[in-house]
Amino acid sequence: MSPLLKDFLNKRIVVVTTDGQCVKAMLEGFDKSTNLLLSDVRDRVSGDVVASSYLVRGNQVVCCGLLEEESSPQPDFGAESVSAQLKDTKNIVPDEHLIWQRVWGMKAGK
Amino acid sequence: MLFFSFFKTLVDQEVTVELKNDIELKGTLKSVDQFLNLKLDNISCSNESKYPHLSSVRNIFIRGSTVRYVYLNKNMVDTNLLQDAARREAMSARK
Amino acid sequence: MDTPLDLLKLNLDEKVFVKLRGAREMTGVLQAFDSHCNIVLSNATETIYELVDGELKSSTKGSEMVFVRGDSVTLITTPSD
Repeated sequence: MSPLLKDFLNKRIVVVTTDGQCVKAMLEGFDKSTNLLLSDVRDRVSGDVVASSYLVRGNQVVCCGLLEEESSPQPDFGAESVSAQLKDTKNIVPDEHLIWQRVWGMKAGK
Repeated sequence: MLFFSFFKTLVDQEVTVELKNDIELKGTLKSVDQFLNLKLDNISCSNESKYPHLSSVRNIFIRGSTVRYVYLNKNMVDTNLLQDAARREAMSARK
Repeated sequence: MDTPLDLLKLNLDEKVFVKLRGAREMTGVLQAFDSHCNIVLSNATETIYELVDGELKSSTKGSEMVFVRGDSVTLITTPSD
């Protein structure tokens, strides 16, 4: 159905998930809800083997990037500016209701 | 279907996609499907120094559900046409 | 019968205030919307609020044209000012 991932089949890709996990793997298969079947799954940061095969549920997929070449230099995840752990996609702000209370109060006082 | 058609008119244009995990990707829009999944080519990550995970990636598939914003340029959009299409969509949606 | 989204038609080409998930809001001119509350705004300004040590901080970001995915939208209204 969704042919957008077809170009990535049997290629090495980077997959980011909604809980902030980031892996490198080979794309073995996919379906129209973006469920992914991956093989040779390695952690993007450490390069450690995570699993030999992986089924990622479509609703947990954020994006899949095609790795240009395996020989391309591994980014320096140790650098000071780097946040090796990606954020999740839940966007939960603690005490959001308190923030809005202040914001509306400020707007009303204007 | 309105935004599916809308994004199809933006193919081959340069857009910036902000994801819900705060990653910002700039690239050329290559394809879109009915779920508003996007494919971008020649991407650069605006906050790459913080998130280098997608360096050495040029071609990316983005699942529509994880998009927060897509930033566009004004000249890419015919606003009169878009507003008319939105009115027509609202008409056809009421059953 | 008019549905709530039918009323949004009246706001097309008008300035709207949009409240978003994650303590964000956006104002801009409404250019398009659909039944999922996906919207396109022109001349938009996004404001992100956060509490830093009990102090309310905000940062803003402007854009000339932006698509906002509907699942982040929690409220659309006309601006109060």
